[in-house]
Amino acid sequence: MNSNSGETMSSEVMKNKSGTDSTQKVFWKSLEEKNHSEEFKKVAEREFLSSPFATEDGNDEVARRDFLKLMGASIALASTACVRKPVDRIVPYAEHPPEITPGVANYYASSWAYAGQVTGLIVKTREGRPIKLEGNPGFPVNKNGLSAAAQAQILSLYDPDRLQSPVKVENGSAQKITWDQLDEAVTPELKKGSVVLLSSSLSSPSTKQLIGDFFQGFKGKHVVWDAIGADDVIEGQKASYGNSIVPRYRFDRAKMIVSFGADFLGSWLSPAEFSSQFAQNRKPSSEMNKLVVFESMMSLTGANSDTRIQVKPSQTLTAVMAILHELIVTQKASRYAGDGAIQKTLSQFSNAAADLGVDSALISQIAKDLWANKGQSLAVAGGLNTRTKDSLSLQVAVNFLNSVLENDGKTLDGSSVPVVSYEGSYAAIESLIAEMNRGDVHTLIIHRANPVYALADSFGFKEALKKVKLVIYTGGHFDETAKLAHYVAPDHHHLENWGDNESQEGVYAIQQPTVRPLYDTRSLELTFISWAYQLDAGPARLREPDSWLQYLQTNWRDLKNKLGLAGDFESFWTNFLRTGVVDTSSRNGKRSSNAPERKFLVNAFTSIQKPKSDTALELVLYTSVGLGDGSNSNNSWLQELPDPITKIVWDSYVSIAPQTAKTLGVKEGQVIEITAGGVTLKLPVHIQPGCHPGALAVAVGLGRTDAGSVGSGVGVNAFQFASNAVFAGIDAKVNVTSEKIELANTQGHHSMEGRQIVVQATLKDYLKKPDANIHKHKMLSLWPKHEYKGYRWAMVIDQSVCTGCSACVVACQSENNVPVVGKKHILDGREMHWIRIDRYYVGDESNPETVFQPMLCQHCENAPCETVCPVLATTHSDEGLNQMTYNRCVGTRYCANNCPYKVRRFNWFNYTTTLKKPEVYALNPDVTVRSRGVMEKCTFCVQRIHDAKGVAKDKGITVKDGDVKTACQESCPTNAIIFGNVNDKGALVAKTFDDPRAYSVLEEFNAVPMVKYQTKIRNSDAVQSDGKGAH
Amino acid sequence: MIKREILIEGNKTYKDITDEICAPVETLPPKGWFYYFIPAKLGLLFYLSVVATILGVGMGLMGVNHPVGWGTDIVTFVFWVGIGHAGTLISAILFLFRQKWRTGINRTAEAMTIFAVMTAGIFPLIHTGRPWLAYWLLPYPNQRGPLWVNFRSPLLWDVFAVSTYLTVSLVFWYIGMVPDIATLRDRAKNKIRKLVYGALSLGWRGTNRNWQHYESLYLILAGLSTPLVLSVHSIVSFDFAISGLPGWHTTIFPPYFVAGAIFSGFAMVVTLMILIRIGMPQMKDYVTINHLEVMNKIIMATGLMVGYAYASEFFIAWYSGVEYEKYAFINRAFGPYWWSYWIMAGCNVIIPQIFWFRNMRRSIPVMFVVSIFVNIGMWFERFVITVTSLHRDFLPANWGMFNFTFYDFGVIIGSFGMFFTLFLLFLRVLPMVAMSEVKPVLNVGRGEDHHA
Repeated sequence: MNSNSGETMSSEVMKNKSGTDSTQKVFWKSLEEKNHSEEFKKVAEREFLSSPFATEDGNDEVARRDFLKLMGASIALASTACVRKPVDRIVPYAEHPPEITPGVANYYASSWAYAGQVTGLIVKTREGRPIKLEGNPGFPVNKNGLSAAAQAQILSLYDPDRLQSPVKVENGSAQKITWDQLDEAVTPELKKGSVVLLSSSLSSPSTKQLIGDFFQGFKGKHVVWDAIGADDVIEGQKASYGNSIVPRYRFDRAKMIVSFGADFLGSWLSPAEFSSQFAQNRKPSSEMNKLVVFESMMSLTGANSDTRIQVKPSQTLTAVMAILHELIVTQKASRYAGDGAIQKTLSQFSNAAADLGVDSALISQIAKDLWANKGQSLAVAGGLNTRTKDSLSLQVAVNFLNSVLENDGKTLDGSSVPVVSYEGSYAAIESLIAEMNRGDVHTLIIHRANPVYALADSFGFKEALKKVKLVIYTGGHFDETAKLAHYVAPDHHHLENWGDNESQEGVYAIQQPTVRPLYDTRSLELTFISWAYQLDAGPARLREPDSWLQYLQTNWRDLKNKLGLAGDFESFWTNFLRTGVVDTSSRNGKRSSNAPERKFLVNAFTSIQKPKSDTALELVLYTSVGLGDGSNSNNSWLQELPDPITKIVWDSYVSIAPQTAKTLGVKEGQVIEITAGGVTLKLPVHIQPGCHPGALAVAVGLGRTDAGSVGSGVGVNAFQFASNAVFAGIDAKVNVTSEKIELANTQGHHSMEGRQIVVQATLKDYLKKPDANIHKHKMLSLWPKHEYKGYRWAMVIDQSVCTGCSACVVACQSENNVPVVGKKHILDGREMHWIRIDRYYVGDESNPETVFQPMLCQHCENAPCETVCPVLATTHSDEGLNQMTYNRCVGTRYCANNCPYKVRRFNWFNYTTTLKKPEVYALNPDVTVRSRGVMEKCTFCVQRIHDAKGVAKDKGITVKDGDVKTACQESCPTNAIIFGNVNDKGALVAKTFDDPRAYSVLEEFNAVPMVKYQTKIRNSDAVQSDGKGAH
Repeated sequence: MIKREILIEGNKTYKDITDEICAPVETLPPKGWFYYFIPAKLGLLFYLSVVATILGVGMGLMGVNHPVGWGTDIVTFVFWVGIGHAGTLISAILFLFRQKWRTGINRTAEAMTIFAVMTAGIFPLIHTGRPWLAYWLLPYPNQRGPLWVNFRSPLLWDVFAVSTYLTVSLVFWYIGMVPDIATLRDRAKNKIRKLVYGALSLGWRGTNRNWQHYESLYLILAGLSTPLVLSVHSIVSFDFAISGLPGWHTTIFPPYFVAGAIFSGFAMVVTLMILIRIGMPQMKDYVTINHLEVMNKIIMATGLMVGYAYASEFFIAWYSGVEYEKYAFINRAFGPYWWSYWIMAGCNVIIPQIFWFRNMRRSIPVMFVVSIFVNIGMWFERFVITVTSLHRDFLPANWGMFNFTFYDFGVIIGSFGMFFTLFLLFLRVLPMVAMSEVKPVLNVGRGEDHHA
């Protein structure tokens, strides 16, 4: 990591800078002109600079040093062809920046925050351009894990649809303007006051400070709203304990986890962090945790649960109350057992199990397990799919359950190191809309939020916007909100901008820019500084800095003192940049020890009323793993990321239970009209095993109309259903149509057909017999085995901790330049992912068990693909890698046919030609871009292996365990993927390879894969089977 | 002594034979010929444009995908190679067995073989991702370092098998034609014809030595071709049998494929012969109903063999105890592609059973319809083998469907265009019946006294 990046990478320009280019060497050139006559100049030119590159008008602007550079380049060119090519494109680093060695990657610590979720990053850059994002292992929140959405931000940086300059919006179309013009137009209005900044949760202490300073100078306020935030949790915490925070959940300390619809492994709050915590006690042992999920639609968390109970969206509260009733009333456990008011509240739910249609013995067992693990259990609820009109009651009830179980302070920390990054609320934007309608808002600045898209029309935001005199939007795209604004002042991408982010209290991450802004964009912070300077408003520290970096550093000088950090600022700052993290929460073991328990305000609980749940069909909206609130809609990696559960890409659909499909008489892909929340939308049906028969589940984040060339027109905007910020349990009417939309599903079949593919076992069986349920085959071979003397690369994937989150899929796509093909080609069966997550359902289709299996090239020792290639384009290396030589491939596809795992991908067309200009910068230069007509597949990140071997060779040593990490392994939040050299007996992979729980998929085929899988262990009494008899 | 059946009808003299067989080559084509030729030519042009588009844009235009890596191209390749079996079988094997009835049809059947193999040969080329590099499949000393081909790959064997077969068949066909071409040369009235046929006849003088060499060479070539008839389709079947895919990995494939090839080849010969009899009524004396009946018997016999193979595959799938294989066969018959399986079984096994009846075997309309069904059935047989095995293999997550497109349709139709164009041109430029072979059998069945 480079400590000089502060100077070299500074992306800021001087404020008030005009459009002239200061890099022209005017001084040097004018001296020449001054001292020499025209003739002399010409003579001189002929004598010394008879450059073949003289421009057409004879005005040779090629400086001597440039000339030498160009000459070098032209010699290189001349040796290859006689045609003179535009040489300016291939000029190498004649004076390269000191930190850059061509061919060697530089890594910078940075971070990404969006709508409260803060992610620590390590940004890999090559020759000055970022190409890959990885988790920052030093950042205590997400560590090395990085969600699919976070990883895909690298592609968003190079999005060709980004706005390239500020624009003035006229009748919905963009007119390019300069920043000067923008400032001139905006500043007079700012003076008139009533300025409102509407943004999503910003999580940046310095930006928030700056905004505070800005509003000292301009009368106005900051309104925070997140389309998908944590306001339900915050309100619940406030009602239950009196403090408005999001607690720091500590899944790693919980042995018994009950989730009431909170998809904490997939989309809720901080999934990478939660997954990593969850996995810590998920490795099978007597200490293995148990996960019980009550939910209406099939979420990733539900799919990973040990016990999954389907409830109607509106009955989520009933489920919590059922357990509380069982605990407090029936089992008379806890200190609240004798409380009459609580008894009375709970008495409403004495028949809860029956209401839910759940066996009361099951509820009783869950309650017993919870009580047995009191202080070591955790109940969570939240997310769009739990935000019914009783959302607050649900939160209070869950908080109460945690308090009853004495979990507060132990498995969730609401007082010592809480999460402080979430601030948004729907209440805030509702009151803002009211103010706008009253005409109380003169200038509205919308930052990092897209309310025109993400608010249902019933909120009336669009109409209210018309009453605002001046609307400025800082988004990077000319999107829905931009079209209704007056000016768009595009902000930098976060990889172009400085910043800092605070996730949990005292846990800070630096946001370093890793590339000079690609376009004429300006950060919101610098915009505010400029306006304050130009109008001479606000405190001096806002007006005086030349750049946002300067403000940031000044603020950190204060913060450093406030936080009581020792040392001089320069070394502190350098260290901050290098590590990317300042963590004061770990002081005195504050982070790792118990937090003080908070007192539960019983009144909040006793006011809970039994919810009505008499509707036949309820709509439930949910957040998809990839697309979130729709801000990532123009990202083709995420559009083409198969949903971990449904495996559908590039579309909206409504998931319904098989039973409901039968009742409605609809088939997969048939379009139904759903009327809910005052709107009617048409959606194709996806029949989803495990969905509650009363639920219609639709993901938000699609249906963008102006996302850009990728995301516009994909799917339907389900936010429209959410009137009054109610996202679940919405009474829905369905009208079946005869239309049909073909849904692009990347997986063809969903049952293992009784084959031994993903082996499942219960914890009990595993503890008795570690290789439980693995059917071993005695394999014979006619041939002696190959010897692998040096390295031998292998992988083990632990299916017990793999949650199916699909972070590895995007990591691989980013690392290995895997092309995106689009919906049509997915429908044709031509997805290109090198690693895919196979998801199988086992057992009862109304509530099946779900298993995930990341499937990639198995690097078989007896690789079937190698023997059949007529031209030896795929061969085995002496390190056990199954190699693919693209240049040699003729494209017979015989290898793919003969691969029992079907992990090979064929370039049916020349996919790289579809990449537009800046997108090509996201390509990894270490990995060949494949042409049309060749086969490709997982290489075990052979470029990383070579890199590590090179480094080791320089040091005269061999590659040690952990020196090479594949992209999928690196991004895995649960560390389910282990990779390394099995010949190194001390290596983790070598030990795991021989673990009794490890098995080969299709062992009897005797391909001898170098990827092994570990049995999926469930902490439940029995695992389901296909009913066809295990193999 | 049993009286032999007459092989050449119409009580012809040698001169009649020469005149009748040379006539199509020496006269301008009648209108009827163009009714055949123009659609065939249009088909060829269509083919060229379809193939050019695929080459220009990419394999993705066709229905192949993941998991079905081989589709129409391979199916149609095997189909045409199969058809290419009848000619050499008739010429070589029947020659060695002294089956004199072959003389009326062997030339046409051989021409059919060559054109079918040529048509087939296009498919492996266009099915590759980068056809412009397909020559890498040939092992020849090259300057790409130590790069060599993979002799373990059945695809490579396929290259050798098909190219050898084409070469030997071509030589065999051509050598057999030399005396007839000499006849054409001798009858030629204009200079160009004289020159062309003169050059092609390789200086044939009809001398004793000529005939002696010719007969020896013909016998040797027949001997060389015979194993090839059996080996080509055996090796084509290795493309499937050597792989590990359930439904492909089957030891019965070589004999099964050869039987199927003879089956489809004979069906195609019957189709063509009927068309020739319709288009050129004078040929009815050479291609007699007896010829056709014999071929129909072979069709029925090979059809039964193929049916046996279908049944035995099911038995072995069950008997092997391999769940993947069991599933593959159940899926063939009852999975999403059940219809293709039953088209195959119906066309190849059930319909030819009609030939148990003599009057059906000798009925031109019946045999024409049956031969067409057999051709359809055999295309579907290869479709069933290729596509239904691939579309559902080991890991259910991979399962998918083949995705038939316009271009798949285009190459199938287009290949027929190419085949018929070549075949129709052949009918007008080369003697379609082996005069030199027909003449010696002229007297067969006409009473021994006639013979000196």
